[in-house]
Amino acid sequence: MTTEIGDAGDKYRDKVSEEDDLGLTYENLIDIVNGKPVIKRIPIKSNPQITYGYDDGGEGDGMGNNPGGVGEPGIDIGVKRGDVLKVEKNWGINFTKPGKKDRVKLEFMVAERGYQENQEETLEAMLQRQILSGEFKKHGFKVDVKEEDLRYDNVEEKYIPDQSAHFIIIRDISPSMQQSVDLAYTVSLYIAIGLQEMYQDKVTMVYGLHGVDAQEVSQEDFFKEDSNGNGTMFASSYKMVSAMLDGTPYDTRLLYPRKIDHTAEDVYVLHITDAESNAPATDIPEVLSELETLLPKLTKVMLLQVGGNDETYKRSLDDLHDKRVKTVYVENEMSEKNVKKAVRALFGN
Amino acid sequence: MEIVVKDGAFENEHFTKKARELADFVTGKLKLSFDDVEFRLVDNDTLAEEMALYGDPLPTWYTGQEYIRARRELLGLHASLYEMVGHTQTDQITGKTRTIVYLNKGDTEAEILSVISHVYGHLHVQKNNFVAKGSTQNLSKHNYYRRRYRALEEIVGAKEVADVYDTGQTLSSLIDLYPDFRVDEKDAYYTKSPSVPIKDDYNVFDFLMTQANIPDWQREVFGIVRDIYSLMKMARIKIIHEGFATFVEEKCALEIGKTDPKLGLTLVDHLRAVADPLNTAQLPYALGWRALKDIESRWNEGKHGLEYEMLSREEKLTYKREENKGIDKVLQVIELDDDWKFLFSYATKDFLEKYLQETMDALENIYSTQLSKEEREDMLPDILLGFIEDQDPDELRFQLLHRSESYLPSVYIPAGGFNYVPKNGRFRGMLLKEDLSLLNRYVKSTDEKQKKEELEEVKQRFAPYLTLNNDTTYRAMHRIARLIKKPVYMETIDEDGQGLLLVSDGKDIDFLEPDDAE
Repeated sequence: MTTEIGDAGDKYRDKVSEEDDLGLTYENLIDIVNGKPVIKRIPIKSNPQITYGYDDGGEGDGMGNNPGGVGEPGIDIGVKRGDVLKVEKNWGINFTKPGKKDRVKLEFMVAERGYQENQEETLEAMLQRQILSGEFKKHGFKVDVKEEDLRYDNVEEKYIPDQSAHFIIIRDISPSMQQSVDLAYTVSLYIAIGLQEMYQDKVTMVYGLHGVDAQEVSQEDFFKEDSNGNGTMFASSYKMVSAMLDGTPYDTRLLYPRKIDHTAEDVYVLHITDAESNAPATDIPEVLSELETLLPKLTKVMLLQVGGNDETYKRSLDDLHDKRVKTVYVENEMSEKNVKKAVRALFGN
Repeated sequence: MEIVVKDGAFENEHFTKKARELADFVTGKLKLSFDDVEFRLVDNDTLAEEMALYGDPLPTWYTGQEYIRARRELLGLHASLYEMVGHTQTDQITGKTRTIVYLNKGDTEAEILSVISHVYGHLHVQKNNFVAKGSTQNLSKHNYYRRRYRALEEIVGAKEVADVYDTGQTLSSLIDLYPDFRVDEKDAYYTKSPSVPIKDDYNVFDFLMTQANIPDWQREVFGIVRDIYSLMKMARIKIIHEGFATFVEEKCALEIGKTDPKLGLTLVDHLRAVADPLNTAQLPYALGWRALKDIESRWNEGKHGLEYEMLSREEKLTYKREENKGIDKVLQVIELDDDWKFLFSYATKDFLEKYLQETMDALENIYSTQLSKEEREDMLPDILLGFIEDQDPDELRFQLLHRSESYLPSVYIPAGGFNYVPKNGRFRGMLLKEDLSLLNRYVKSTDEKQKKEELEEVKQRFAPYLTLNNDTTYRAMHRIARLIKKPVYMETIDEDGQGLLLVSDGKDIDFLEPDDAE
């Protein structure tokens, strides 16, 4: 560093660990270490200032500054990423991490300039030792690294998961679901954030809506779409998921239909509904037969039933007695208790 | 005027020659004017450092943060910064002023040439625009500030100085950014009362410095921060600045294309990438450039004035009156306008429709085979989409200013506001008021009663853009309250346009009914 900036970089590092009333956000930047991409999160602090805009739901930067990351897989609505730790601690939920066999070893360099600096420091330490002990005078320069020279070799070993995941959220938009949107969003976001933690940001979000027919939509549409009065059928959404896995055509509002490779990636499905099907007698058996082929390809299927009087659908899924299927029923009311119950049941151990 | 391109300690003869040729063209034919320039070809590290020191020349944690971020972005190829126009430097002996411009060493020849022409546009705005003139910074002054800051750190302690600096950054949003902006009716619009301050004070930062009971060294740090952050005024001319630079860049590209068509085409390609109408981040470039081009062609062909405005739509298309005053008009606009005036006087409804059409065409070029017309419309930047629906140019202009951050909050202390007691009890404190006088521009009737109703209507319409009811403002108020050691009240509107009185005691925020609520 040159003299004009001076120790400003160190001051910044100290500042980040300080607790104060400054705003803290993160910026994800990809760095390349030893030819491998490593994601580095740079913390950004900012002093509060008088600004335009209002807070939507009490969190975020307000509309004046942040028009909302439309179309991006980032999650800004409802819950903060930092809350995950709090949730893990206070709610007793453990976001289980994938086994070690799925992970690759990655060497993490602590030194500012990476691998090269470590080497330089080691050689310098070696040389210093040789000069002080008089070896250098005797034999001249000779590469002879001892363990004590390696004290500057700050290589940290870190495991990052090799696998990536797809998280498919499908929401029922029948008119009876209108009041439960808040709860549905919050639960789905908690699970999404949990998955992001588990897979270290290697999670692709897929959004779908279903009435009678299911359709893939963008993130923006998923959160904005109002209900329509067409009615409800569940089987369509599971058919859409299997179409995504098989690469066969399905209804989508995005530019290209997607193909998910379930052998290389984990696939999670969350279905949010009030379980009031138009024709339960034919619909539910259809879902079950679809699941028979679908389940082996999926990592987890979650059903969140919000309100509704009829629990036949939930019970029929429970009767499968499969570890990969989780179901929960919560009251149609936005409260911490309900969110807690749902997240715990669907995503806990 | 001296122009030189330096690579390290030596002159780069090739680029110096090219830069001088371009300078001859822009000062001759386009009638631009600026002082001496020194271009320096530097690597990413130096570029990152200059970037950090430009916004904040003090050796603070904030500068460190900006430096580390910029360096990571440049090295990891997350962003490509082509140029960095530094502050001016005055030679003590000759009295000449010189601007140092940093260019990226790794760029291609075409990139460097387009950047040089872009920079000439910036330098002209810097020298001639009335806002830019009032907020110049000087490198020697910055060096002095840095020395003082380091000395204070040694005497008082780094942590203490940093805390004062933080508060200063919060207060920097209270520097009077619009001394020329206010309309005369504000005296009638707001009440007066004989106490401290005697009349409405818009320079809240300075007012607080005279009233707050703080030691001298803190006052010095605040003074430095205040001087540095008066650079924030430049936000007012963001669209003009970038738009004009792009405008000059295009002219130069076409001039180069006359003798070297291949290079000329490459330069135009660069230009298209910079002024991309589909990219919201590049909005100031695209919008400013197209608007200035529109002014140029209108004043060349005489398409302005009452005679022209009275014509019907069809007649307007065929109307032509040779005038060739395009460039003169553009330079006049650059000299006298800020973004606000610029958009509201020259971005006419016709222009905005044309701009929208251009954006649609750009989309069609890319997606014509994959998407239908409705789907393409869905991909438009959302502010333009709103314009298709309600056809209200005022609202679009408002949004454009906000999206390009060309308009920052204006807050003042009303007369007697330092010892303010709200009607419904509570403690004596300081009252800040949001300046909403700009809304008077949208009130058209002359009748007093109707005026009031119209003002309420306008308030509700633009409230989402003008409310200060957010978390960052709360925290800023806490800081001010801790500084002056008494509660701070803030009169603003909420997102529905209803009056709102916030109060902070340094820790918590509370919501009250404003005094004039019925």
